[in-house]
Amino acid sequence: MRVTTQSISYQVTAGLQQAFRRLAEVQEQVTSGKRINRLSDDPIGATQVFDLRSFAASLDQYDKNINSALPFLERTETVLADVEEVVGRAKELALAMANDSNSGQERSLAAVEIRQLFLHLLSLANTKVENRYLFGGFKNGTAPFAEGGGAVTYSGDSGEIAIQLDSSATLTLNLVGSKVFQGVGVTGGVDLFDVFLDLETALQANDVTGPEGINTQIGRLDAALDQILSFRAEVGARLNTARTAQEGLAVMKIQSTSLRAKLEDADVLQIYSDFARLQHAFEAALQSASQVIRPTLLDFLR
Amino acid sequence: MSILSTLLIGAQAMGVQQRAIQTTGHNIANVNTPGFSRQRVELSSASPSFAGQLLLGQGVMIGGIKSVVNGFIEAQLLSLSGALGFTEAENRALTEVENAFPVTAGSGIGAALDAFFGALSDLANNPAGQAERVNLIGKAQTLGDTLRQTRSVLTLLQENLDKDLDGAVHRVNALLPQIAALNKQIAMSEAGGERANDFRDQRQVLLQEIARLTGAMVLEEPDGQVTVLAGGLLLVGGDRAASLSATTLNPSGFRLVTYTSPGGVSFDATALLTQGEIGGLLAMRDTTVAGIIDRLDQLAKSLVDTVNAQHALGFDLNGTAGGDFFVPLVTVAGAAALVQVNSAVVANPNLIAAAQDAAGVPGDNRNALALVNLQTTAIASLGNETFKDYFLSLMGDVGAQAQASNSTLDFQQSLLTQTRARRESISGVNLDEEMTNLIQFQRAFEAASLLVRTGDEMYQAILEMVR
Repeated sequence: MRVTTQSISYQVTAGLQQAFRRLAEVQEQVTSGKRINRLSDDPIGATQVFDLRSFAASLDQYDKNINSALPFLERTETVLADVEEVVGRAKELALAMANDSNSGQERSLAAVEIRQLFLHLLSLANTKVENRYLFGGFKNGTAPFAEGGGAVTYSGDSGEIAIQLDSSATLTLNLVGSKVFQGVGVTGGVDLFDVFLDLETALQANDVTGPEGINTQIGRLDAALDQILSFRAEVGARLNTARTAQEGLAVMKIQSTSLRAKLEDADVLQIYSDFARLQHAFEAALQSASQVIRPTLLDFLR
Repeated sequence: MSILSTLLIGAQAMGVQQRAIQTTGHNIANVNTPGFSRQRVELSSASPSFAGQLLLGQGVMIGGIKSVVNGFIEAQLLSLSGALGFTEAENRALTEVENAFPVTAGSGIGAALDAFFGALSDLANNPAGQAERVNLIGKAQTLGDTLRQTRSVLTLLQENLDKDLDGAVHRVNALLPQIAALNKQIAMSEAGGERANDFRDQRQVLLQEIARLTGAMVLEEPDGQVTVLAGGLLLVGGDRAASLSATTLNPSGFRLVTYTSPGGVSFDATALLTQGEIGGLLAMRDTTVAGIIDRLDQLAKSLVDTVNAQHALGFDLNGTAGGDFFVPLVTVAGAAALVQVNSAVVANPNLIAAAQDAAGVPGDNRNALALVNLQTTAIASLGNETFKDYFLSLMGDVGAQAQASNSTLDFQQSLLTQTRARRESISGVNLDEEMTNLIQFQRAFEAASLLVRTGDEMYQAILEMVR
């Protein structure tokens, strides 16, 4: 093929441009550390990276959901433990007072202690975490239990607050106060407040064996203990579920991150060696171009 | 025969060699002229004359000055220029489109969608929380801003394509009369049978430019003039040129291309110009970029409609039924530019309807959860895709188109470079070759001048003999 001044100049320009462009591409990967710097670098890879990023964001969100639920559940657990203790103490006291050797005076003193325990129970039932009452259902902005007219009334509702654990599963956050403390909707359920008030009355009246007497209340206290224990077990199970889910999320997070890195990140060793290689190639192209363009016949005619 | 004929041969040869040197000089002078084809003096020996039994040579004569051109390659260059003109326009636009959808983490519509639904999830975790409500409003506004910014990058691109179109039309209008004028000059110059090499070279450069702009087809007539056609429109016929104008606007406010024939008939030819740079600009402006904007608008409209519909099913912190969360949108067109949180909600975050039941306030988070679930719900108006998937497939399409256009551009550019190199290898000037020719013709000139001197000396000898 005949070679002319312009065909050489086209060739040299095109060759240098190509070499320089490749160098610039690798240079971009070196600076960003990413294999994909724009959509067209790898459209499928880029959308996968976006999908994985979005997936990671949702995993973070689920983790955040669980973290926001944990204090609530943990507090519920400790409150129920305290309730169990209070009921246990009331039972001990009732058992002791059921003994014939106790005088009426001793029983009325015990009634005062039961009153204290009752108030403690009421305050436990009205525990709140960060402005939310644990046992109010949806209506958790105000204290759910109040004493009035010799009875305790529930002003909460039976709403169960759900927390998203993953795209399909939810976890119930709260225990409904009327169920836990008043046995509403629970088979063989007992109203704890009622038992405490009745026990107080029985002690004051020095009534051991009557239909509303201390012995009857001891039986109801046993049922109350069972009731609290079963709800405590439920909260324990929920805490367990939440913690297991959290561990699962952490594992998935690691997997998705490493998958994304594989798609998105440049292979450092590879690109550095590419960069060095292309740099040499570019220099060689420059040098050869300078040799080809310079001499003409004119240089040799004088 | 006579000494006189020796003298004549010498003189004629000096003239011919000098012409050859001039042509070599012309070639050297034009070594860098775009589109120049090297010229060659065709030398032939003059008709011999009889001297008795002998047939004596009568020296040299010029058969013509030819330029070295390969018609096939020139035609190929024209068609490649048209294809490249289209792809270059397309590639410039797609690179801009691609920049509107950055791949960096935490930026763009995808991240804004994730953040919006994340904020809804936070609200579900604490439906009465003021911080959660304010945060949700902020994230929703960011989502609206991101949609608006992305759309405005695309509409700005459309406006720039429109300006480029105007520029391209002006260049076409400048080129067409020049081609017509050269047609006329070539026909006049070649009427005597000689090829008008330099005019043809100049015209070829202009034809390449018009092919790049319009993908025009060029037909050469027997008289050396060319007819230029683009999309079935006669651009140049003989010495008469058509013209284009881009002053009429279509309903979207973009330029239409009006064609006016050499005879003065004019009509809207926008749909006919599908090739070359103009074709590329029109295709990008009216189809590709417009299509992406439509899809973005559809996403925005569906988002606002769906979120508002679910929001209206809930109850706010005051126990009142939920109003509009976003400012409602009437049409799909322009939707992505208009995603805004309802100003009443911005002023009073308690109006966000997180509860499903008025009686459940403040702990009821069921409507907030229902809003979160929209993230994974297939939306009918988005072809039963989720918001995220719809956006991802839009991004995937943008990337695939940009990638395809990049590789087409690379291919066409290297093809054009190769073809240009082939053209240069045939028609281009090689300085070393010209230098060799120069020396060759110079030596011949010197020798011919020696011939004249020899003739002169022969005359002198005869004159001396007589004295």
